[in-house]
Amino acid sequence: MKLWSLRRSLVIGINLAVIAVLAITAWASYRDILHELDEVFDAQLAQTAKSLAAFYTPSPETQPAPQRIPISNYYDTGEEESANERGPSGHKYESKIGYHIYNSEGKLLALTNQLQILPLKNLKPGYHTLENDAQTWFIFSYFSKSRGIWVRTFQRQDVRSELSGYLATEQLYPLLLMWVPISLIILFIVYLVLKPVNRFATHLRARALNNLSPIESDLPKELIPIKQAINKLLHQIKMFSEREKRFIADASHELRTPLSAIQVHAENIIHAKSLEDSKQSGKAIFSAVERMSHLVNQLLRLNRLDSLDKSTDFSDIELKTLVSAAINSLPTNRVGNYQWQVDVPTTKIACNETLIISALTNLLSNAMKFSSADSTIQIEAVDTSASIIIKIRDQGSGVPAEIIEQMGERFYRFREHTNIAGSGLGLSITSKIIQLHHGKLSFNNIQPSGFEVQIELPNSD
Amino acid sequence: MRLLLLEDDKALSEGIIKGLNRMGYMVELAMNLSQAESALKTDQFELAIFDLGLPDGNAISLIKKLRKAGQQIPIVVLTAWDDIDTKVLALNEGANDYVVKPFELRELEARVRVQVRKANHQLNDIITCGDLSVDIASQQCRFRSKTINLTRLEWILLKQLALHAGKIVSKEQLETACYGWGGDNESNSLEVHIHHLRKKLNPGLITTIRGLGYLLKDQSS
Repeated sequence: MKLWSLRRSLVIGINLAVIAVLAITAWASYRDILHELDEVFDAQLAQTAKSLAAFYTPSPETQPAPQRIPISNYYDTGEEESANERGPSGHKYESKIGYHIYNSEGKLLALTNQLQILPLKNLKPGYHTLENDAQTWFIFSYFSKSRGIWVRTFQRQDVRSELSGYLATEQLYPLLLMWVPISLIILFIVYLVLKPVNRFATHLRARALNNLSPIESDLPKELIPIKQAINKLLHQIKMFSEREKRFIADASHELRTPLSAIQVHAENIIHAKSLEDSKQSGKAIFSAVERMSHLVNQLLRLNRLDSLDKSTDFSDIELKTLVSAAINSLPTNRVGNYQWQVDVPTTKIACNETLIISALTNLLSNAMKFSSADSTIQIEAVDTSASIIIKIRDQGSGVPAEIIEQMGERFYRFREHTNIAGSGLGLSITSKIIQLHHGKLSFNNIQPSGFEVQIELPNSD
Repeated sequence: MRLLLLEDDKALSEGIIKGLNRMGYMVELAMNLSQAESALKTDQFELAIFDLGLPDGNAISLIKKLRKAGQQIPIVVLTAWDDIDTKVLALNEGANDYVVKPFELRELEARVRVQVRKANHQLNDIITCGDLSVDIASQQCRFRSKTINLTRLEWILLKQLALHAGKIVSKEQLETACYGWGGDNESNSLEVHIHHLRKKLNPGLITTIRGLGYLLKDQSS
């Protein structure tokens, strides 16, 4: 769902609210005016009726037909902006108001000469409305007991509403005029309120790509969580990029050293005085190349593991199969130099077979590397309901406690082991593999002498 | 001329030592910081070449420590770290030059020579003592305008004496310059080489100072 911009929502929302309030105000004042007009006109109808009743003198004997009071001879044809609303014979609105006078028997005595005679029958005293020929009339009926006559005054509804309409429209203009400055003020306030947001956005846009320092600009309270979230993200990106930078620096360092050895020895071959000399240099070049290709292979493996999905296809493999496969892939001539003690229960592990074997091989090869020939290497596994714990123990000299923390970091090599071949990536790869299996890798020194690596894998059952 | 090489990579250090030996330098090897530190404390070197990333730490800390202790030996850093920050830091802490791996030995040797030249306040690599001129850059020795062919050890001896022309160079200094720590120092082999040098040059050029060492006569003397 696409969200509206804050500015647009605020401007439109506040304007709509203002317009609604103005409209309600206008409507209410229209109703008030109408009501007040009704009151005045109603009073006038009543007063006219009473006055007529008081002044009218009936002479029924001499008057065979009702007496017709003439009204203006031109009729309302709509609004005309001309002076002839007021003609010499009267006003065109005369047709919209009028009266009837009856005697007590209901015989019409006098009436204003409307276009049509209103069918006024059986009316009680007081106010009524009458629908006649698509027009609504307000009527007041009055019976004078002393004179014995009925007087009915009436008025067409549109006379009233026209007037109140005019008055209400007059009221609407100032309201509309008021809306213009209000909407300008709204625009200005919205601009002011959103200014820090815009400044924040500009600040973010203007940032150099490699500037990962936290944002320091002052922000209103509502934006502080966003700033904090962005700063946290920036910090994480910074940590990540620093780690990658260090990794690249380390990788290039590790590659440049054998590369230098190759270059130096190649130079020596060119200047070699004897065949023996150049053979020696050739051998050195060969081993440097071997080291480099090992390193490159390890880097590629690590990279492949990094990009591997967590949901790699796992299959259930017998733990014993995995351990023997791992031992089998160790260099055969060296395996015989150690005493092997394997105590593994019959259980299956959900894993990627190739990866787990390579992790185990790596740990076993470390155990061999860092302990003396003829010592014992122990592989022990425990199957608990929650997890399968595999322990690999050697009888080597172990690792100082403060170093254990750094184990598994890429290129980290324990200084006393620099004479032992290795890229410093083996444990990183192993720990990455165990991570892919949602497991844990931990290291411990054991007494009196030795080192223990523990792999804890979640139990698939 | 004797150098100290601090480098933990065996294949590389072997290659450097071999190459520099060929170019007329005696090189001693230290594999870590503590070895280098004690070597510099107990022995005399013309120059040190330091790798930075070592098993027991970063060599920049050692450079700082040495400079603080007033050690003036020229130090050329030779490392795979090529970032500007590290370069600047190493130079600021007192390294004299910075070479990034991979490198050519020729370049390393030239840079070493520049630093030694600077330390000895020479303008170029040709040291002249009277009729004798020793060109350290091209490893050539001329006596009375004639090129003299020298063996490797004779060259090292002559260079050592020429670098300290007019000053007494002790027998031990010459021996370590020729054979290093592990070399054979049969007491009279040095004298044999000196004898050969004297024969190839003017016998009076190199004076034996009994009990102290040898001295190459400066042109002024």
